[in-house]
Amino acid sequence: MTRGPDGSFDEFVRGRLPQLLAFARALTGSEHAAADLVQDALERCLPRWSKIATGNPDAYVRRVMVNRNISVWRLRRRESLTDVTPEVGYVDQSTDLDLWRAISRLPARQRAVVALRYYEDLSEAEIARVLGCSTGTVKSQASRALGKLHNLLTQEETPSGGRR
Amino acid sequence: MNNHPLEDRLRRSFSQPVQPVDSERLLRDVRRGAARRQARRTTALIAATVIAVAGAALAARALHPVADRPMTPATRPDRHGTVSGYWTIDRAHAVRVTQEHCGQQHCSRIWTKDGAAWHRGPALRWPGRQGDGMASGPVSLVQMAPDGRNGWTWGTQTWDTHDGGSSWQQMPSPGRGGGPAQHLSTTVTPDGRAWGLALSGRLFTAAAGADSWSPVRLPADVRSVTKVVGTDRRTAVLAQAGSAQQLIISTDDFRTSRTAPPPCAALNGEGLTADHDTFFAACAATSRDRATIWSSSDGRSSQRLAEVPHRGLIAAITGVDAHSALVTVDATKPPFPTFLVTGHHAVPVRLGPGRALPLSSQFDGRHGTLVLDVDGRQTALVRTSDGGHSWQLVESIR
Repeated sequence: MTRGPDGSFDEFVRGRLPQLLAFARALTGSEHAAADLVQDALERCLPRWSKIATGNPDAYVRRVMVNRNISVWRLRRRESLTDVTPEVGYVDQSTDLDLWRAISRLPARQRAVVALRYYEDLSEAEIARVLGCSTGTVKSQASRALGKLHNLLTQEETPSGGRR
Repeated sequence: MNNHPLEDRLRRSFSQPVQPVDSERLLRDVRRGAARRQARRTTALIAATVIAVAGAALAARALHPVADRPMTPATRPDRHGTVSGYWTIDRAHAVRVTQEHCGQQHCSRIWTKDGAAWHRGPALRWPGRQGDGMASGPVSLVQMAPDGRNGWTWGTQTWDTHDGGSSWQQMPSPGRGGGPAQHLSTTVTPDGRAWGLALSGRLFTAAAGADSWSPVRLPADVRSVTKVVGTDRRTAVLAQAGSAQQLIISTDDFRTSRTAPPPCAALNGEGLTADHDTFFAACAATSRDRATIWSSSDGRSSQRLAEVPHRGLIAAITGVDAHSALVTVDATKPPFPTFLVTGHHAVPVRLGPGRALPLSSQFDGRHGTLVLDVDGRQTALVRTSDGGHSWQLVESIR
């Protein structure tokens, strides 16, 4: 068994997994990419867990998730510029499929801002600290993200004008 | 532009429940992934040191020339990539999957063993640019049906073979709503049928020889399936129904089924197995507990066998025969302690060097083989001829 101080790593994962997955889903716009992102971030945190556990492990893991998601997105940027709609994974009837599809089309940094603002309810200053940028950048990224989402959702609702 | 409705919509969508993921399975994957990362870092450090030392030696030799000496034999680097999956069909035949570089991308290659020789099979590649930036090829694990001809290999994609591994075809993802294929885990039961478990928790099946998946109808209150195991006569599903776990058992591929409570509340997918005619379950609620081992011949009633004399969750359990099972405990330091549970006794056994984790097994009477993951870096094949008490290394593949 992998134990940080007091076996806290396993307990942290068991206790916080649903919240980490929900945050990862908000970051990636996809159910299945969310599980990959959580696993990737935890693999990176595990060797340093004894240090991480002495601070705020939840915030640390989330920050790793944000940074990893942006890094991975950079690697795959060329794919996201194609016309192929990213897969959003399994969804039930009540899921706002159009919205998730639109979120998954945002650049990773804009998705991070949206996730931190509307899932984590962080202030612009707190988001700036997590992303390592200025509050002005957060404001502009949030504004662009909402504008792009609005445009994408409008296109979804009027198929003739959409780029599906 | 008024963004309030959009902001409300975002909050609503983000607050919806997320698809459940088995935390124990994730923890195990995280540990193995972290071990691989550590191994890669160590290898890179050693390589950097070797290069630095070699550079220094060359510089010194340039400054102080010496007479040529005969070369000593050097270990050739493995040209065949990293083994990610291995399945023994019988003593002479096996299939393995390696991850290799194919141009700019990683690909997966299937190898088949016939006697002592490994035959290099096809490379399975990502379509187009889909694999850019991916750390491995599209499949990583493999399992063959008992007939040795039908088999499945899976990872992000699923491929199947009907000719013992010579040729492979990509299977479509399970039906609509079945979840992404990359989280599919596949089990082949003794009847040669494959069971595909999607991330969504839904269960699909494919008969030997079939090239597509069919959804499996389970009781209406089943939310998600954690594990599928099968004996020669029965298939059992460990499922989450409401807030409780259930064992759903069928003798006819779930055209009909009956439900039974698992032998304990603290049963996770890693702790359930079936071999020959017996189901085995290992139950440990937390890493501070000692697991108890249960067995059942009919899936209806269970007998408590023994308590594992080492604290920790169960990393792997495999049945040896109707009365014995090998149980490996997840531990911080190598090796993973493994015990042979026979009746009410649990005796320690040593499977192999380092941190050896059983990945798959085949037993026939007192003879058996285990495929081990060793330290997250290499795959080893070990064999027993005394019912699992002692193990000998047959093959080690990095």
